This record gives sequence, structure tokens and C-alpha cells, in this order.
Amino acid sequence: MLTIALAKGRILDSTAQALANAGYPVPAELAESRRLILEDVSRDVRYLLAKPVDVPAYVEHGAADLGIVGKDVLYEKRADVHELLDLGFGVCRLVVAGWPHTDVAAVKRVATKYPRFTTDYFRRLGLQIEVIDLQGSVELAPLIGLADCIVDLVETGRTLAENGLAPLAELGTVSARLVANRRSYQLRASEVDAFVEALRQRAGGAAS
Amino acid sequence: MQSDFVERPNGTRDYVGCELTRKRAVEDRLIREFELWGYQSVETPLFEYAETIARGLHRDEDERLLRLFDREGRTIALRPEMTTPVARVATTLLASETLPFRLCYCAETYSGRSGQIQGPVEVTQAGVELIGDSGPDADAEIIALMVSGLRAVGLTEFRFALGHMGFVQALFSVLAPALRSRLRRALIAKDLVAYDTILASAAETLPADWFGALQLMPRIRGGVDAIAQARSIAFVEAAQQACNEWQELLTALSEHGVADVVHLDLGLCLDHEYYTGITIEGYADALGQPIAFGGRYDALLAQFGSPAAATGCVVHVERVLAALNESWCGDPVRRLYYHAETRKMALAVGRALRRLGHRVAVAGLAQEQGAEESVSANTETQTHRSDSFALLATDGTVTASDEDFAAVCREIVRVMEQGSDQ
Repeated sequence: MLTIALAKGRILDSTAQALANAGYPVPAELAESRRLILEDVSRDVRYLLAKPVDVPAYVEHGAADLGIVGKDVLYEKRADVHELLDLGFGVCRLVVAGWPHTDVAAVKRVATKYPRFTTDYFRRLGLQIEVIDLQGSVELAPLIGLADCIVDLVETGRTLAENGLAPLAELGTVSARLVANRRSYQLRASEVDAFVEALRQRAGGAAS
Repeated sequence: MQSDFVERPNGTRDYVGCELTRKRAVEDRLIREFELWGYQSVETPLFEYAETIARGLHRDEDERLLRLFDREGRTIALRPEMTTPVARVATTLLASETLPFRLCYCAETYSGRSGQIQGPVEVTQAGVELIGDSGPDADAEIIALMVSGLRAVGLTEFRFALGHMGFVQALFSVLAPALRSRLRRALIAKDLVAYDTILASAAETLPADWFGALQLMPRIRGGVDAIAQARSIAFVEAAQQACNEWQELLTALSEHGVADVVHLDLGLCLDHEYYTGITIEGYADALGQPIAFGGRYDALLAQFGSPAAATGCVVHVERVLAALNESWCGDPVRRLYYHAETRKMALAVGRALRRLGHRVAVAGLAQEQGAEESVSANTETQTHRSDSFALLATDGTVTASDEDFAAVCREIVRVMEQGSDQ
């Protein structure tokens, strides 16, 4: 039986949709139930519902064979896992944002939930900045002068606009990824490959 | 606030009692198995000159060294792995030993920051190195020995994935050097999404069949069928040569009787610049992280001035322990209590018990916490420890938590009293 860790929250609906399209319909109680483990006996699969930031740990330690989680989390967590597939959904832009007309090249302090992305980006620009590691409502930081700007995921940009902030530069886009535990990738190769293939065809189908 | 001096540095741990007994048992059984196969044990210093270690390391890994200074101010570093120090030793042995020769070790290694989730700083590596044989027979021996060693410690469900740096390099030979290194980094990070993206960016500069081959390569895993797939994309001589080596290796491994626990992984790339041929990674079913790493490193000894072929493999002892997930604890400790008047007799009985192979702690009844209560209750379940005990009373009688232990003690007392009568 394959155990697959799914990230709750932002990408869960798209994940369920993608799995259903690939022939692995997630049990219907996913949305309403408070259960953390769901089994699909007929397809020999078990789903764990985890907080997104925890998915890399479940997979790295082998509590789950596979995981579906955003690249944002994956990159920040530096998990030692196989990254097998870009699933193409859950796409978000990762942007530097702040008061309009802020000079990105002159910022000193940056608030973010993504310290690794942020440090790497500003290092590439040749800037050593101070990162303020926040867990949520990052937009607050420039409003009250805690930071010169923020680095955050943006889907629609509405939260930024409502707070008078504007995107200043784009770091890149992130999307949902299929990851595999290192042992499972080797010892359950045929099961893992079959699952990857089913999802790949769906991903390809969605793109075309 | 808790002071630092009562805590351990991050990433380290203590071993006490049963757990250490089990760890030592794993280490001893591995070393015994290595020595049974004709390998000589080697011990090297905990630290080396940083330059020595740099000879064997990939640049990026350099940053993870735990460095310090010796009395002359030279930079030294705690060894991050054993292959490089053992290679340094091997070059000094080349003049006197007949080739090939076999070395083994079990030693702590250190790395500052593994880049993984809460990785340990201290890792015990038990390994073997076979110096001076460039053929697949040597690689096969290393793998068969590791299989044998893991079985000797009691691990049953495990496998080895086998890659080949020569194959990867041969397929990369068509690419520009900068692209090669980016793809290699992606393979080491096991990031196939990045690999595909980098490859796609070079698609128009590549012949279609090479592009397809490079896309396919890191995804092929399997047995003899994987060699057939590898041959179908082996467009250059060096790649065919790697396939021949895989073929010979699998044949030799089946003659060793261990072909059922290995498979090929064409994209296997380990995070060390020094691997040149077959690469090895081992996994236990019971653990999410790999337990063994190894491969051929024919260029490393030349770094120390004496070129020689070499191949080897290590297991991470702590991970093997985690995979075994055992709870045994070795022989139980027995306690022998005395009153002031029976101390001499108790010490003598203790010596005799130890000669018989019992683990025994001898202690004064009044000095040992909770001992009097245990003895008066005289049931093992109510003792303050789970160990069995015996009390040598002033009148020479023996009271014990279990009849077997009492009988052994009485017999020893009887023999000793007979001896003193004569």
C-alpha cells in the first residue's frame, strides 16, 4: 500500500481534482471530515492530511511514500526527497512587494515566510539583507515600518492592493510538486512509477 | 533558564545502557564480518588537515566541515567521512602491501550542517575499502560483503541501488560543461523537475535521440531489463563500457548469491566528486533514509601521490540501528547485597559469578537505595530495579529474588566454605 501525504489548505482542492483525473479519486469525506488518514482499499492507497510545512518531513522520514506539496514549502524545508513531477496546479507568483516606488536595490530589511527564497534572491542581486521571519499577515510589516518590503506568494494580488502595497519584482513562480521518499523510490519503484505515470498523463492532458 | 553546560550541542546524542549495547553489537558484528572477509581494521585520527579532506570533497560540501586550529595555527577539520582518511593511509601502505589489499573501519564522522531536516552532526560509519583492483569483481565483493554484514547484524529487508558515474558522464558528454554541472547538481538533489527544466532549455542544441535518452536516463531502475534499456541509449563507447561493467557486476553478484537484493538506478549520483565508476546506495525497508553509500573512486588515491584503483562502501550505524528497531538489552545485571559482616564473602562470590559470565554489581544493603525494601518484599516485581538480586545474610544464608540465582550463589558459598575448611 502506498501512503501519500497531501497538503491541506491552499492546494488541497486542486490536489483532489488532479488525483481524481489520474484515476485515484480521493474518498468523498476528504472535504468535510476531520479525519487525518483516509484509505482507498480498492486502489491500495492511503492518504495522510498534513499541514503543508509538515509534508516534506513526513516524506523524508518515510512516514509517507509520496507527497503532494507546493514548491514554496519544499524549497524552504530543504527536504531530502525525490522531486518527481511538476503537477502544474497551485501556481502562485513569489514577489517582492512594498510601498509603490520602493527601490528594491536599496532595501535593508525584508519580512517573509520564505527566508531561503528571499536570501537567495537578494544574494543574486548582490545584496545582503536582514530577513525577518514571520508566519502570517506578512503585509503588516511594511505598513508599520517593521520592514522595507516583503517577499510573499501572490495569487490575485488583492491583499496587497487593499493594503496599499504593490508588487515590485518577481522572484519566480511556484506550483505543486509530487515528491517521493528515497527508500520508497527504490524499494517500491513499480508502484511509485505507476502513480507518477498516471499523474504525468493527467498533467500533460491538462496542459494541452 | 537552562544553562548550556547541561545540554548537548545540537545534532549530537548520548547513548546509555541497552541502546549502547545494541549499537556496539552492530559495530562488532559488522567489523567481525569485514575481518572474516580478509579486511584489516584501520583507525585514523578524529581530525585531519583541512587540505587533506578537501582532496576528497566536493566544493559545496566543504562548507559543512567542522573546523578548528591546531597548535601551529593550521586549519584542521573533524573528518566528515572515512574514505579520504583511509585513502591517505592506503597510499602509505602501497609500497609495502601486495595489491589488492583490503581495509575496514568503524568510526564517528562529523558534518556541521547537512542541509536536511534536523540531520545529526555525528554519524558512525562502518565501512570497507578494496584498494588496487579495478575490475567489477572488486565492486561485487564490496556489495556482497555489505549484504553479508547487514544480514549478520540481523537486518533482513534491504536493497542496494547501483549506478555508474561513467554512464552518466558518457551521456552528459554531448553537453556543454556548464550544463553538465547543472544537470549533475539536479541529479544529486534528486530533483527531476529541475533536471527536466534544465534539459528542456538545451533541447534545440541537442540531437533528438540524445534529448530523449537524457530525459529517460534518471528514471530507469530495475534488474537485467534496466541494462537492456541502458544499452538502447548508450550512444558512445564509454556508455557501452559502463553497461558491460553493470552486466559483469550483476553476473558476479548472482554468483555471490546476492543478486536478489540489488537493482540498477541509472540516475544514481552521489554527492562526492571522487566517484568514478559503479555507485552504491543501500536502503532498508523499515527506514525512510538510505543506510549505505559507496562506489568506485579510482582517482582519489592519485590525489595523495600514488594512483591506484579503489572501491568501497559504508553503512551508517545509527540508521541500521533505527531500521533494526530492536529492544533487547544484553544479559541482565544481577545485584548481590551484603551486610558489613558478609562483605568479604560477597566480594568473593561476586568475583566467582563474574568468572561464570554473570553481570553482577556487589553493594552494601544499607548503602543501596531501596534495597532493604526490595529484600523484605522479596518479589522481583516490587524491587526498585528490574534486576534480580541476592542477599548474603549474616548467618550465611542466601535470600534471592529468583530461585536460580539463589541456587548459584549458595553453590558458590558452599564450594568456598569447603575450600576454607581444608
